[in-house]
Amino acid sequence: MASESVKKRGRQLAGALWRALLALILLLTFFPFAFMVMTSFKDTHQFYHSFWLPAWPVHLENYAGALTDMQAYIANSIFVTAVSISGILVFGAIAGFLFARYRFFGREIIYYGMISMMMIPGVLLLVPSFLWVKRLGLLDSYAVMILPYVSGGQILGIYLLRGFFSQIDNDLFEAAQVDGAGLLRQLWHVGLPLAKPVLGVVAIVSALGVWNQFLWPLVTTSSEDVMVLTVGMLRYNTRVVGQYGRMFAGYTISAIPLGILFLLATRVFMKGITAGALKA
Amino acid sequence: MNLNRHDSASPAEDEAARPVARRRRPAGQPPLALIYGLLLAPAAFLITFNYIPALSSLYHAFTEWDIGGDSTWTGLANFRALAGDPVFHKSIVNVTKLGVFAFATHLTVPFIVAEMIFHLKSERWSYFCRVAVVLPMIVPGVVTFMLWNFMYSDAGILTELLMRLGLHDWVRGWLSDPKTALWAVAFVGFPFAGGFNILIYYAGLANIPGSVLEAAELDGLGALGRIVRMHIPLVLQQVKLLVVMTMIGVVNGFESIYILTMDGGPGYETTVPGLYMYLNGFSYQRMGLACAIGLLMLLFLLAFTVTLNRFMRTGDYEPET
Repeated sequence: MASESVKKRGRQLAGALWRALLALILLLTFFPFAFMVMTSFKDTHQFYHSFWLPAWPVHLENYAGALTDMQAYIANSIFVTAVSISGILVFGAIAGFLFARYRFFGREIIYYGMISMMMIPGVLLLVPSFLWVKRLGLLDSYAVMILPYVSGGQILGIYLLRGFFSQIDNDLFEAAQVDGAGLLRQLWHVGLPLAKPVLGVVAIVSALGVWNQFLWPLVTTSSEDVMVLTVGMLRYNTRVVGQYGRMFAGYTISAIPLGILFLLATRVFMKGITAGALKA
Repeated sequence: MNLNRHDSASPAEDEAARPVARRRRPAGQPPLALIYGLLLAPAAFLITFNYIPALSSLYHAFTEWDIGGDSTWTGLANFRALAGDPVFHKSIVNVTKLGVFAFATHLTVPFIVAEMIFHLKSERWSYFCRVAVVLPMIVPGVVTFMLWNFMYSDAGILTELLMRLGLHDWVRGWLSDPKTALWAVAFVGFPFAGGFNILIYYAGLANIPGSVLEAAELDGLGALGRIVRMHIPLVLQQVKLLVVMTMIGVVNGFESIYILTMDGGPGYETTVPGLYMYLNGFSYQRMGLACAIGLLMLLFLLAFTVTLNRFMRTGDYEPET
């Protein structure tokens, strides 16, 4: 009897240790980000004299300053991301729908011709892609980012939406057909409302991918007019050397747009992260 | 292309098997012109921004290509140059070290964390933890690397911590000391509890049927026994996916190194093939050589994926929250 209770104790202790370790790992994971937010409210004096702890008073002017420097970049990033996602969803939905619903000559050739491009990571084509868009005269424009993002991003959309639409019962579409709805109206009125969860996942995966793009805009854009946040942060860094509070305020601001998206669509966001694995 | 032609035969066969009345265009099938017309835009995008650069890369890997766009065919000269290039060799050694480290950490720590979350009794806490590990992803990757750059800097957390502990001798320029630079790059993201990998593992664990879990409990397997004998074999599919993802990340990922050391320094201590490709293309104006490096990296990744698929046969991966 005694040994039973000892065993139970042992198990409880092990469970508590296990949870403590989990908490420790989570704390360590969050530490750099917590430090970032904490320091974003300090001036330089507070940074040096109260390195590990929050300091009073808080310096909100760090944020005002950082926002002035970054607002153009953020607006550009939002614009590029929004237009790219729209293009990806439109192309993905139409092509996915066609591949799933209709038979036509060359369907599988075209489909696999499109999907196979998922196997080639864009970063390996950085140099030839750059010289090619340079030749097309696209350098330093929104288009030089949006067009390739739509091109590459649509692949996952086509793949997921073909899979989704081919599982939907044909009767639903046929009913609409009897009512005289053409292909696009069937897609719009019947297909898309059903596909909302998949569209959400595609949108989130694309948003994360486009928002985080760094090397491509770094080499293809140079003027502030079109510069996106990731590249702009490099310039921002050189502007705030030594002003740690302001630097970290900028870093914190950079997380806000995706943070808002995360708050608005936590479940889709989490599903999207794992669905992005299909890109591999 | 031969393979594709073979695929296209199957729908035609299906069609033949159907009743005669349906062999013509089925009622409601839109005109072919409309279908092809609608596919034109996605296809044109892919040809312009994916196929042409890919084919261009394939061709120019065998040329000397200058920034103006003129290229001359040089056959295997680029590959021969790489074979005798000590910097390229060094970059492969570096990426191998980083890869071994990444496999040892990015595959194990997330599994352990996923197990911990899976064992939480309360669904509420479990969901909270899953959201928590994902939260850092709202910070742009580049900014996360900048944060780590700060951590390693003279005013940074690591230096400050060692000073506090009285270990003044240990302090150094973590990214500029040849002894520590590559380690510093490898440790970005410590403790490697990346949300993505954890969610993948968690999905695998959550997919194990309850009856299987109960059976193991009845068999008297202890917690460790259950994990080793049952959980690990049942998440092999996820392991395989993460192995591929990690390999792609290791081979292609040089953004962190670009942010941390810019040029792969000190010396070539943190140069990896991806960064070397970038530098050849955009700093040294050796575009052809850059294409050759990109091609080698692609061939390596394809060979790796194919071998892995042969070696580890598992079903298709289904994403789940």
